[in-house]
Order: sequence, then C-alpha cells, then structure tokens
Amino acid sequence: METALPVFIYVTLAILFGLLVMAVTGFLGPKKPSPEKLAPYECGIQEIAAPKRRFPVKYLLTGMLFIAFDIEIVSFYPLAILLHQLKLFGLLELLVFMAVLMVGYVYVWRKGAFTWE
Amino acid sequence: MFQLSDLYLLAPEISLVLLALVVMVIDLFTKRRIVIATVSLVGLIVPVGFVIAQAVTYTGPRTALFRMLVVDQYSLFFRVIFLIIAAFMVLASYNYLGKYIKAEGEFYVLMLFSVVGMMLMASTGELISIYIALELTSFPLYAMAGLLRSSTKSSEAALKYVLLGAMSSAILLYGFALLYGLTGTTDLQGIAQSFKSFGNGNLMVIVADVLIIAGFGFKISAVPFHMWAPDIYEGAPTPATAFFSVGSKAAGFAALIRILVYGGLWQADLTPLIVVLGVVAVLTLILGNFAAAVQTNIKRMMAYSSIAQAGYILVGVVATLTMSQKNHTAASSGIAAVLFFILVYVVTNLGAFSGIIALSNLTGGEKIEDFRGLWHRSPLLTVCTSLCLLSLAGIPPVAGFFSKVFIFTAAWQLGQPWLVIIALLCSIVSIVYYGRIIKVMFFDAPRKEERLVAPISLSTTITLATAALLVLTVIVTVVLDAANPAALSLFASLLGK
Repeated sequence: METALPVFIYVTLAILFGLLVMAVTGFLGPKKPSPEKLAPYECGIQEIAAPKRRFPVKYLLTGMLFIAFDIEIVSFYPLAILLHQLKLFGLLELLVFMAVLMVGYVYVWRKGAFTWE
Repeated sequence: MFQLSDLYLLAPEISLVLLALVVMVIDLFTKRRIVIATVSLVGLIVPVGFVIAQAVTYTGPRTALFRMLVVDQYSLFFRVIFLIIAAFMVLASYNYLGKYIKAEGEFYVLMLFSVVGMMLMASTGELISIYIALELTSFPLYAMAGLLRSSTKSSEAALKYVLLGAMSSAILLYGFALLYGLTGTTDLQGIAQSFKSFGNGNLMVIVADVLIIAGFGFKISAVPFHMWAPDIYEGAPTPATAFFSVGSKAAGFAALIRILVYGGLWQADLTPLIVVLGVVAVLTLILGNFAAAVQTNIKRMMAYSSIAQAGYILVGVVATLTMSQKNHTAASSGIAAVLFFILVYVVTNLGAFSGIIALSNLTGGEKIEDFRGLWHRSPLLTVCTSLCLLSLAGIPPVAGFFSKVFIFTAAWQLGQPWLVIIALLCSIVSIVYYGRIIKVMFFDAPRKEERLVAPISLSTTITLATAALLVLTVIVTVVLDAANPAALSLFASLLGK
C-alpha cells in the first residue's frame, strides 16, 4: 500500500489540476457564442458537404470478415518467432489452425459473402 | 511437455469441434434439415464415447497441455451434463427451426461450438483458458439470440446480450488480472499454492473475489446482475432460450466453482467472500421467485424461475465455502449437492422448455392464458410438462425434490441455517407460480376443442426428458456416488500436496 501512495497523490493532483484549468478558463475566458461556433466539430469554415454519407451494407460484411481473418493471421506471428523451438509440433499446430480457418473460409465463400453484386 | 496422451484427454472437445465443422460443411451442400440434425445427433456419439472411456478408465486427476486442461471427476461430470444438453437441444430445436428460422445449419453449428466452450470451461485449470472457453461459449450464444431475423425483439436480445456479455467479460478479466498480480501465475493450482501463505485482511484478494463473482454473476444471472435475463429470454428463439437457461448457467457455475474451490480462494480471507456470495444468493432467491410469480409471459416467467434456481445453487456454494477451511470432506458435500442440483435442473428445464416450445407452437401464443385447458387437447405433453414444472418447484415424487433436499441439508449441516430458511420460504412462493401453470393447463376451460398433435421430435424430447427425470429420481444414489468424488476432486489437488 505504501508504494502505491505516490501514485494516488499523483492521480489526485492531476485530476485537481484538470478541474482547476477548466474552472479558470470558464471563469476568465470571453464568451461570444454564435451558431457556427456552437456546431460540433466547428473549425470556422462552413461545411461544403454533409458529413453523413451512406455506404453499402455489403461493405460492412466484408469489413467484418476482414477483421476476423486479420486477427487470426496475427496469431501466426508469435508462432513464427517460436517455430525453431517448437519444431514439428509447432508446424502441426499451425496446420490444424489453418485447417479450421479454411473451413470457415470455404463456408463464407460458399454462402456468398464475397460476391459483391 | 506435450504428449500424445494429452490429445486423448482433450479428445471429447476435439471430436466435438470436428463434428461442428462437419455439420458446417454439410450445411453448405444440403438444405435438408433432417440430414443436418441426424449428423449432429449421431456425431455426438463420438465425444460421448470418449467421455465414457475416460470415466471408465479413470485412475486419478490428470493434467495436460501445460496444465491448462484438468481432467478430474468434476470435469467429467460436467462434460456429461453438457453433452446431454447438446443431444436434447438437437432434438428439441428441430421443429422450431423449420418453422421460424431460415438458418437451420447455423443453429446446430453455433450450438455445438458453444458446447465445446462449456466443456472447456469445466475442464480448464488456468485463468486465460477459462476466459477463452468463456468467450467460445458466449459468442455463439449472442448469434443464437438474434437468429429470428425478422423479429426486432430478437435483434434487441442479441444486441443486449453482446453488450452485457462484453461488460461482464471485462469485469471478470479485471478480477483475473488482480489474481495474477497477487500470485504471479494464471495456473489455478499455482494460485491455490500461493494463497496458502496469504493472511486475512488483504484488500486486493477481496476486490479480486468480488470482481470474479460479478463477472460470473452475469453468466449465471444472479441478482443484481440478472437484468438481461428476462429480456433476452423473451426475445431469443425459444430453443436458444432453453439453451441459455441451462448451458450458459451450468457452465458459469462450473467455472466459478472451479476458481473458488480448486483455485483455493477459500484459503485467504473467507468471511467477506461468504458475506458477498450469501447476500447475492438471498437477493437472487427473493427477486427470482417473487418476480416470477407476477409474470404473464411464460418465457419471462421461466427466465425469473431460472434466476431463482441459480439462487438455490448459490446457497450450496456458500455452504461449501463456509466449511472449506475446517473440513474438506464435509465441505465437498455442498458441491456434491450443487452438482446433483445442476444435473436435475438441466434435465428438468430442458423438459419444461420443450413442453413450452411444443405447446406455444401448437397454440401460437406465449402467454400463460394461452395454455388453458391443454389437458383436454394434448394430454401427454401436458402431463410431461407438469411433471417437469413440479420438479422445478421441488414437489416430492420427482427428482427436483431430492436436489433441493440435498442442497438444504448440506447448507444446514455446513452452518448456514438462515440461508436454508430463506430458500425454503422462497420455494414455497415458487409453488405458486409453477402451480398456476399446471392449474391453468388442467382445470381451466380450453379455448378450442380440437386435439393438438405435437411433432414427433418434440414429443420424443419431452418424453425423454420426463423419463430421464423419473430415472434420476430412482437412481439418486448412483448419481450421488458420481457427484461426491467429483466434488471432492476439487479439493484433492490441494490435499495431495
């Protein structure tokens, strides 16, 4: 507990300082609000196009599948680093992993998740 | 190091994963539900065979895969329970899927993957594996909740489930992280060893305990973490609801008890842990039972009823923890009662749910009043459903009575008389709402006269479940002979050293 005491003091001071700065700026700063200034993400220039744009749901599906496979591929990296130590066991493990992945790949393919039209 | 025998110990899970993959591939090439269901059901023989083989040749607890996998009597007991659930689910969902859900193959695949996760939750002795098993259990459940694609309630259920599941996982991980920080290992046996030297009054231990209980509290739908249950149970497809109410709950308890008892958390600072769990148990009992009594939708009622049942199980867990420091053999009687209770609860609830699926399919409604006079229209279904409900209420002739008696006597003997009294009072309340459905089905005037004929798969399921219930009633001692060593095996690893 004693070792954590400086951390607690530090966190408390940080929070207090943040509150203080907010209070001081709110108190001292000049306020001349206008509708443009109050708009979210205001930067002083009028927007040239509506930021809300529609995009096809199909893209969402592809994106989701990409994340799934992407993260699975990431798990190859630690294996690649340790492959010299793991030898045949590691290689077999990789193949099993790939096989399970492939079933999923074939599944989404056959279900037509990759066809755009 | 890795050995081939490790693969044998993991064989039930491996074969179940393979089965799920096979079902997935078959789903690509055929649209015939009967093929998919048959393959799933017949394929279950392989993991069942492996579990039986492991149980028959059992010589003592074994660990495998760098001590991540623990195969003791406790894990074997739960593996059997989860395989029973899988088999019942294939049968019970068959007709419902054809009627309401377009994606039949997906349902089976998700269900099988989830069962793999449940089996692993009961048989891992390491925090990270427990977490991965938990997620493997949960992710398919989220998808299953949303399988009724045209129903907004179902989508809402799925979304709520995902969000609450993510939050509970985060809380649980905080608890795991604190445990790791305290002991320097994620191995439960290692944690148990290092907790031997912990004195009382360590704040971090209490915080870790509370976080872990809160995290699993969501999975077992214990009050105050129960809010999701009624909404999700109501919105999800009914077979998925049945699966949540038994599978997710049993797996949550399996992992919670594994961590609390096998992980040796009872060695350090037990009193706050007992107080926290005791309060959770009491709240769960009271809220579950009283809220169930005022429901009009039968799925919501079953949701609150399953919350109440979690309360009884928690009473057993608290009782075990109370005695765990003094007498391991006596303390394990609480866990044995819990194991028996969970087995009976699984069978009973699956039976009651298949009855509800069948009856609401036939009558087209999920309100309790839709069930009026079903005795005249479908006697077999009504009798079986009523038996299951009676068992849930704990009325003498059926197994549910014994499971409650075991929990209560164990808790009484282990020194928690107040919990027993509260639980008893609550179970009197439970007779009211279970009895109301039975009364509506038997004595109220039917809406229509025409006979209802349940599809063969559903009537088989419910007859099987009721038969299993009656068999369980007869072979109580046999099951206890399996449950007692299973409970003791959780303590064995600590006593051996």
